[in-house]
Amino acid sequence: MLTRRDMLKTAAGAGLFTIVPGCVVNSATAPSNQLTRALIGFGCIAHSANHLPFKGSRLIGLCDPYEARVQHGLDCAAKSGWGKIKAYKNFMELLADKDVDIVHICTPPHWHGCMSVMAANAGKDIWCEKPMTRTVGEGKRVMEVVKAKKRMFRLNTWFRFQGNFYGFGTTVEPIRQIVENGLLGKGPIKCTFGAGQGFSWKFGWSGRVNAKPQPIPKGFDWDMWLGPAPWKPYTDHRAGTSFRGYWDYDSGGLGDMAQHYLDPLQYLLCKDETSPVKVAYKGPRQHPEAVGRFDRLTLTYADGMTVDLDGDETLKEEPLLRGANGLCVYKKAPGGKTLRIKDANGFWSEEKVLKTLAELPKPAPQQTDFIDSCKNRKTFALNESNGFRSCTMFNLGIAAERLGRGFNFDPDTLHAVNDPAADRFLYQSMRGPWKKEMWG
Amino acid sequence: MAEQAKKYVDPNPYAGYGAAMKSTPGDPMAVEWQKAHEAEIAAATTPKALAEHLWEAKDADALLAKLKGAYDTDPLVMTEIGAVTQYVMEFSIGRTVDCQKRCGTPGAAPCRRRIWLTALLKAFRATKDEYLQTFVLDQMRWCACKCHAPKIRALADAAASDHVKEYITWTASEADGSAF
Repeated sequence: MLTRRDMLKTAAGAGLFTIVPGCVVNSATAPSNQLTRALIGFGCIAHSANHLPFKGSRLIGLCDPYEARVQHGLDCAAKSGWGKIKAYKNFMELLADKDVDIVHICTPPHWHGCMSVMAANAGKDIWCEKPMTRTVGEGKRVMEVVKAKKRMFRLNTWFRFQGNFYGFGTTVEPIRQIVENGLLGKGPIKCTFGAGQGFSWKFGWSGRVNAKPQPIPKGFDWDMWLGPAPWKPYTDHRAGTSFRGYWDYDSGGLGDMAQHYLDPLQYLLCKDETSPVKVAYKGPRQHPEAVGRFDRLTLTYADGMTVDLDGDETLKEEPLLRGANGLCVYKKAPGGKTLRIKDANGFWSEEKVLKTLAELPKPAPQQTDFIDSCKNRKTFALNESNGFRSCTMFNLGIAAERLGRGFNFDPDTLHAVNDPAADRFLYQSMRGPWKKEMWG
Repeated sequence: MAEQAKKYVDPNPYAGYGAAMKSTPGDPMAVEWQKAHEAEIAAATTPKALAEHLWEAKDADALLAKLKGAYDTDPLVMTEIGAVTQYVMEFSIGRTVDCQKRCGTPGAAPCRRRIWLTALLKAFRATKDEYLQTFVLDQMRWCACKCHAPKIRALADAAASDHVKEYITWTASEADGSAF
């Protein structure tokens, strides 16, 4: 009997929209009719509730360059009700397995671009942890290959379509309503992101400036863990959770958290199709290997809209959004139910906020079921294109941090403008053999 | 699952967020080191201060001679070296036809990039420390020109490990534009 999986593979390969017959729908809960998933990496993130028990798909295997983590993953999968799943020798073996439909990339960010490209070339649909990629160049390549291979792609951040947006007491939908319906007036909007608005830049995710080389732990494939990143002698602070503190793997709190913060901002500002044209930097000179802090990064769009990333917390009193007409959007007050809006006459009452929002047209619905995306080939809400754009926002910031200065950017060519030094940070090559896998 | 967590010990002691963000004496985090040395960092990395390392070969050599093995180098020296590399990147594209024509021409102004690359090549050969060799190759990867690629490849005879040899090949491909 033709299973749903067989039909989907044929339809996906032909790029067709799948119509599933009733006889198959009725047996959709049978394991042979579920899409299958495999995890690449079983460090911190893979342990979360999203990853092991994710409904609608069947977990069939995992891999990790730490042998101990592979065993731990097998034990956790069995405890979560998946029974005995496969332990692949490495992710290449995982990608070669025709039984795998969806690849879940749970590695540090320096692997995300290369693995996404390899997974797309292997005919897999992709669920990738954030940030999408470490550089603009990698993101552009992922976008190209995912589109060319007609794969479904999603990033693992969700605030543009579900969940309260940090301290705002609400989803981003009402904020988008405000922006989309012109309540902030004509002219550039000023956005501020920092502690005052409820967002931490997590400067504690820093690297050590004098970490000593150490023996590689038994059962750990350090060369594989490094992958496309430059070779460095092993030191335990470069691996584990603390990889976040090194430019080679993540780029600190900005690299690690900004996609959670700035992707919903990009959505609510209706900027999914473009990127900033300028980035400005204020802060100390950075150590060449270990990530420090920034004081201020300012992204400017072509229409004059600005996004200030407030590292030194001098903009704590600013609203999230300040409109050209003076209308401002703040996060909810302690004990409040929803976000606050303020004009020249002061804060609106909660009743006025709720009444105004109820009368505004709602934003277009979003595709928020990734399993449905994969089965019916519908582009997911946060995909390779808009994910690339929001990733570019902070990848510009990271390049400016490392350069110690700002630069101009062309959102169409996706290169720094007349600035080869800046472009070197936006487009970085990879350690072999991953260079060939990534760029062809 | 809680039982599982008790039995399983991650081989990496920094697997937890709390441990990862703790500083220890003699082994500071970059963010704390930056805060403690803000004025020194600013003074050492002005354009004027960086240019002073590039007037003559001996100036560049003197800075790189401060590199110590096994991550023991003063972080300020590491930051200065990284900043000089970026300073050099800002001056001349290095891969344009005009620059290649000028390079080495009698009477032409000394090329800052050439002074720095010559010093980096020398610093690589002066150490057998694997980490230091990778750090020096990092700098070359950012700012080497096509004309430096053969001398970079020749470093293979002094490589501390096979991984460093592989890194040399990568660095040379960055220099001659074949890295993508």
